[in-house]
Amino acid sequence: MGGLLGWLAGCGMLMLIGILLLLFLRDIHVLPGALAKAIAVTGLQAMAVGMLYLFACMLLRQAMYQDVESAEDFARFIPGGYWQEMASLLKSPAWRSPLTSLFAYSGHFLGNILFGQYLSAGWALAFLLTILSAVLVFIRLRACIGGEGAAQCVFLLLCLPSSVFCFLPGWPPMAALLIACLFFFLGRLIPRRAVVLPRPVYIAALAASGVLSAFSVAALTLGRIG
Amino acid sequence: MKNRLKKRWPVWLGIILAAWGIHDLVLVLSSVFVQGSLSLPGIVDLIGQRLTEPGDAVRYLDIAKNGYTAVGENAINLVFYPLYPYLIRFLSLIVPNRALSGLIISRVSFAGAAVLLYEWILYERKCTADAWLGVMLLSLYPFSVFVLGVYSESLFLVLTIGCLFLLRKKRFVCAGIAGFLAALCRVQGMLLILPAAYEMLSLRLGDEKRRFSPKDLSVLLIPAGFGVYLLINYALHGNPFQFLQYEAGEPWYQTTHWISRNIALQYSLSRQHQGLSWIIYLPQIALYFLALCTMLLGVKEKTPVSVILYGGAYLGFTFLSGWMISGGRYMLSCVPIYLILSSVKSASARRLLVLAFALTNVVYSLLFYMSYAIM
Repeated sequence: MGGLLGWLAGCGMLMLIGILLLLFLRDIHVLPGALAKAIAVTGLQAMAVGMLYLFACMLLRQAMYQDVESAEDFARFIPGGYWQEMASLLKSPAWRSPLTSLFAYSGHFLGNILFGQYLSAGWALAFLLTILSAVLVFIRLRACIGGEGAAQCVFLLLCLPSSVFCFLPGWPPMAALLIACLFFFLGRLIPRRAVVLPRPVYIAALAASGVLSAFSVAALTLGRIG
Repeated sequence: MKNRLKKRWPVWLGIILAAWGIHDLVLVLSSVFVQGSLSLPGIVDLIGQRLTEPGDAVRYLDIAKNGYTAVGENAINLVFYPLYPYLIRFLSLIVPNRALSGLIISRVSFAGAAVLLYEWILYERKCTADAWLGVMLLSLYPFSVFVLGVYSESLFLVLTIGCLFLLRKKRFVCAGIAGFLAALCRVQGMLLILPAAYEMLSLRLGDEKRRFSPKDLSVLLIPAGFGVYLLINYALHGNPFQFLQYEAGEPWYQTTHWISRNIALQYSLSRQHQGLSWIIYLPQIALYFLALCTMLLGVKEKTPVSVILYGGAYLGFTFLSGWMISGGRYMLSCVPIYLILSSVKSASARRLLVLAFALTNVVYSLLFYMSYAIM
């Protein structure tokens, strides 16, 4: 319970910092007001989805094995050699693959700023990169297919079965950011046309993604994948 | 200013009497509880025992009497900032008793803080009901028992509210002076540079796009106040950061960790020390989340961003402390809370807020006067 409270407290403060930064960019006219608000909503949605995935992992692990002691120590409740290695790389970074090492060194640097909380820094960095990716995709899609369509697409992307990996410390959030940056720059080629999925189609797609995501979260937590 | 005083002095007097009256009423009722009877000597005795002798009060009075020292067991008094104790020293040239001087400074400062908060909320919201609500919430804050004691809380309150109010009115020179004094009063005073810089940058880069003026440099007075404190450290010990070493040692054992670890530690301590859980640890955790939610409410209610920035920075800075046991008292001076909560529209929510604040104020004040570990 203490770990969960601490985690919520830290996330809340980081969220407040992000919101204040957006408001500052709006006040000095770097970002238009409507866009700043849309970015904030997209960012909050991405964060909420990530926290739901994490909560589902912890819940399942605790229900089956009663061994979740800390929300911070992801290597304890997400089995798999890669996550164990990531936890130690955040504390003592070393060269592995390009994306993994980039994440490890960045997470270690962030951990130094957070007074030695390396595992928390790993989580924070994973969430930050994924939120940034979601925002970049949203901005590009908004320019092409309109605000409502963009919001639908981004939320569907966040609910894809594989998107849970983007919220875990490691190479996936780095890869997500690279792909989002690529899309942001190349997406100018998409012809402009307002596109909005009909509500029943959107709900059905969301439901299907949600069910598949739940299975992928279960498979991750029980060590069947990852 | 004269015209304003002429028009508004009845309102200001009402605010001062209400703010003092709440605390004096709680003091009198607590005296009945503690001593079993109502008598003036009993009340004076209680003031002496609980508002001038325990905790930080004795250290402020020692600094007022002897100043800072580089040797001996009182060398650690260096961790207490100089403005309040030296004001006591100055006033004690007229008022012969230092403890009484401290009480007078706190009482007058609290009156000033209440009036300034009223005027500030009126300036932002243009609504007297909101302004009164803000003043009531300040007076009824759960751990506001310290505002009338020999503590720096009231002085810091009036300087912080003054600085933020003046920043909002774009009077940067006066705000700089208030911020300088606030930074000489408590370490959190230094954080006022953030809203100052924000207001200045918004003026230059925002809608108005005003040209840079040399008066803008007056915001640098705020970190200069902290610089003076560092100079005192250097003059005594040859180390401008000597106070950090004292804070890390006995009796404070202060450390700095990220908020999530400190909150988790607070919860763990609340489980280990059941007797202190509802007095120290759980209130601190609750206050953190309440303040955080209040800042987010401020974003929704379009509170000025510089004010939310200061509130967030104050909250974050306070909860970076590892072994914090005075979080309730520290959060009293998170002034944006009162401004933001005064914007609550729903009448029933406002009533609930006032009732919740009043109940917790009475409970914690009573526990304080009964010598429980509220510090």
